[in-house]
Amino acid sequence: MFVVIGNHRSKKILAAGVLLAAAVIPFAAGNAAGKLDDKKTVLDLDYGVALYNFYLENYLEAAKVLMAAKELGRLPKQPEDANILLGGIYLQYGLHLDAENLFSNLIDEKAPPQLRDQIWYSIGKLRYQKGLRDDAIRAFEQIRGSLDKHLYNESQLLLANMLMQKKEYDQAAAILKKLPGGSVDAKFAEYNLGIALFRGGREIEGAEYLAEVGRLESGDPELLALKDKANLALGYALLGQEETNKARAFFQKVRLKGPFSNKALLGFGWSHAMKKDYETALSSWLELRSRKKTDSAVYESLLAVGYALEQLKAYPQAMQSYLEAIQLFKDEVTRLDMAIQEVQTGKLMNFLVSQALGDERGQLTEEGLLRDVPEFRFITSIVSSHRFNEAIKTLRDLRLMRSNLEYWSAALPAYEDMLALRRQAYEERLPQLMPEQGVYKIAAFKDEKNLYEEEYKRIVQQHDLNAVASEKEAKLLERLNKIKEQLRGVGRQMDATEYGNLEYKYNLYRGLIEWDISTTFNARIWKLKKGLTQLDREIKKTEEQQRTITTAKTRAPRGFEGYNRQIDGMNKQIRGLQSQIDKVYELQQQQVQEIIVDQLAWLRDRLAEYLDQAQFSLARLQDLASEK
Amino acid sequence: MMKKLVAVITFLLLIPLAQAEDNNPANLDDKIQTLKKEVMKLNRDLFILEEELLFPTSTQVAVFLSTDVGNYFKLDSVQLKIDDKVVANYLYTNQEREALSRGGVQRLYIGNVKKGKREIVAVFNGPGPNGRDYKRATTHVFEKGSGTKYIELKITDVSQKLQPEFVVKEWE
Repeated sequence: MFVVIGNHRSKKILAAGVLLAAAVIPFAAGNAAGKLDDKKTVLDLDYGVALYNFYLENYLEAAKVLMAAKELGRLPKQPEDANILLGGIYLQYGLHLDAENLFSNLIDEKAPPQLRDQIWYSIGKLRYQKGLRDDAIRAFEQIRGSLDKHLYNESQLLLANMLMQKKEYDQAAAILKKLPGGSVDAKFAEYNLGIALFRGGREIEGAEYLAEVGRLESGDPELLALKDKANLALGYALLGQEETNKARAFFQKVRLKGPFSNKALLGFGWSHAMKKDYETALSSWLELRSRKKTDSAVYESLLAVGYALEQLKAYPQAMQSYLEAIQLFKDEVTRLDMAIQEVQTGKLMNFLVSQALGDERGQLTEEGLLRDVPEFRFITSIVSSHRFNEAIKTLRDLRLMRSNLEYWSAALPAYEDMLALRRQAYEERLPQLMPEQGVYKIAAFKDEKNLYEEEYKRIVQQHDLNAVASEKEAKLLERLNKIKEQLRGVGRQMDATEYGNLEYKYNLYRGLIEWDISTTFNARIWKLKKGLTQLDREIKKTEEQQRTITTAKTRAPRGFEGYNRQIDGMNKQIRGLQSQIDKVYELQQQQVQEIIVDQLAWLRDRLAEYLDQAQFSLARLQDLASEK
Repeated sequence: MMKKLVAVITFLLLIPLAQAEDNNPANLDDKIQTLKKEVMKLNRDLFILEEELLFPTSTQVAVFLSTDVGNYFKLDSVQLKIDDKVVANYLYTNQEREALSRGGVQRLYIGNVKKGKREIVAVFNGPGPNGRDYKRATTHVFEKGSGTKYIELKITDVSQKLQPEFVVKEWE
């Protein structure tokens, strides 16, 4: 990684990158002023479920829940929050174009400035990590200044970094000069500013900034490494101008156990050698030669030691040193050839992806790789780069997508079986479902109900008390009617007084019953009406059920066929996607292989060049010896 | 030789190392993005199909779980019964607890029940106030109609009582 962020730092930021979208989400609950770690308000369950999966980094699951909920209209209360969350998921899943499309409404219209800047920051950062430089610059340039201070500084550092890659040094310097001082970011900015000015041809101004960084006091390992790097850069710049004493002073400031000590020792040696002090040069190069062979400076020291011995006229020792160097270079070239072959056959790729699959975040660790594959010492700088990590992450995503499709592919036949069973059950029950017969019965019921309606109207109109009498009352009335008949039959034979008494009793009883009925007539009528209304409701309900059965009878086969067609289509889609994934996986793998092979080949060519130089120097010394 | 080496190292030091991170082939990135989106969409469609086939609206019941910040209760596990039959047991990791405390909602169970009155019992386990083992059960009777039934089990902190509270909420 560029000096903006050292290797260690870049890993921290990569890890923080996982929470990038989370940084966008806090505003989801419509609380623009909310803190980043605020608890989210859940008004729609599916939004909460997606959020849960998002926090667990199950992005595909989160997207699935959210997209299905949108499709089914299950996000009535939080549609906007759901969109923001979906955008965050897209970002985490590397879909920066979809994220931008989704956020475009928010970005253009409704978003508060802080959210707007945060979205552009997240999009820019993802594109930067993917190596999509121009798109990343476009996103970062949209940031207006409402971003959290640290994120803003980081965005500007990355922006300047990319402008420097495009050799737009003045523009990069202008951005870096605007960054406030006092923070760790500011020191990185200062260093970059020095480099930008230096590369832009303003060496003196650039050197001043580098010297400032080279003087910083700190206990922070990142800043100490930056300090070393600044002193080293100044040392070599001055060495190039043959200012050996000044250069040496800068080399001496580099820590002996820091990550840049090898290069400092090499430069320190050259600062003496350029003054023809080969003994001092030799002592620093001998120290360097004994170090682990993980740095080009160590390889170069193998040649430099022979050169110094030669200058000191210690020819046998010089020849021996060249011989040792030749052997080592040959061995290393052979190892590199083997490593290149292993990469090209895909062996190392499988290992890398399985390592990434084993890690929750899909990140590779330098320590882990070096422990398992010694050849990784040749490519440590690549392993810690964003582009490489993003490429490996993509391979991991593709593998997980393939597993996901395999799961569905195995599930679909079960759904087909289930559908077949349902269809069978339906067909078995079908003969019992005769909606046509039901329709005739309902028509008869309706006719009967109409008769009741007519009768009801008549009763009301004629105030027919008998018609509304209860069963008991009806029986009593019937008995009274018989009594009346009997009285009429025997009336002439009876004593007039006795007859009068009986008739009086008859009238009294009948009157009492009719009084009861008459006084409760309205209630009885209402009860009748209620019964008729209920009957009407029941008939309508039955009609509805009949219609449902009729519809179901027509639709069910179509439903079964519909599902079958849907499953067939999905099966085809799965197969198509699996094949596309395989092709893209291959391409992505090739790309990663190319990155590694390029680095290995570059190193191999360099070592081959050193080998030539060592062999040439040895031959020269052998010729000299034979001449003597 | 000497000047050449010095020049090479100076160049290496002053070159922005990010140049090694040259533009990623955008075409491949576009293809991968399209593919990922397609897989997402297919997952959505399959998810909907699965729900329609396995858990029809007329019988579907889904139980969700959410928590508050968890000052008075740390959820270790939950057991869920419907009509006295255990339908789910779940043990929580720290990451899952964290996801819940940040507002995430877990779909604990989805299944089918017949129409009518049903009883749900959830038993929560975990350290309660003062770190002592805490086991609480909550019971809820619901009416399963013809529509989907969503039930949320909610664990909240009640500051006044310094106790957790276990609430059951039915969603429309």
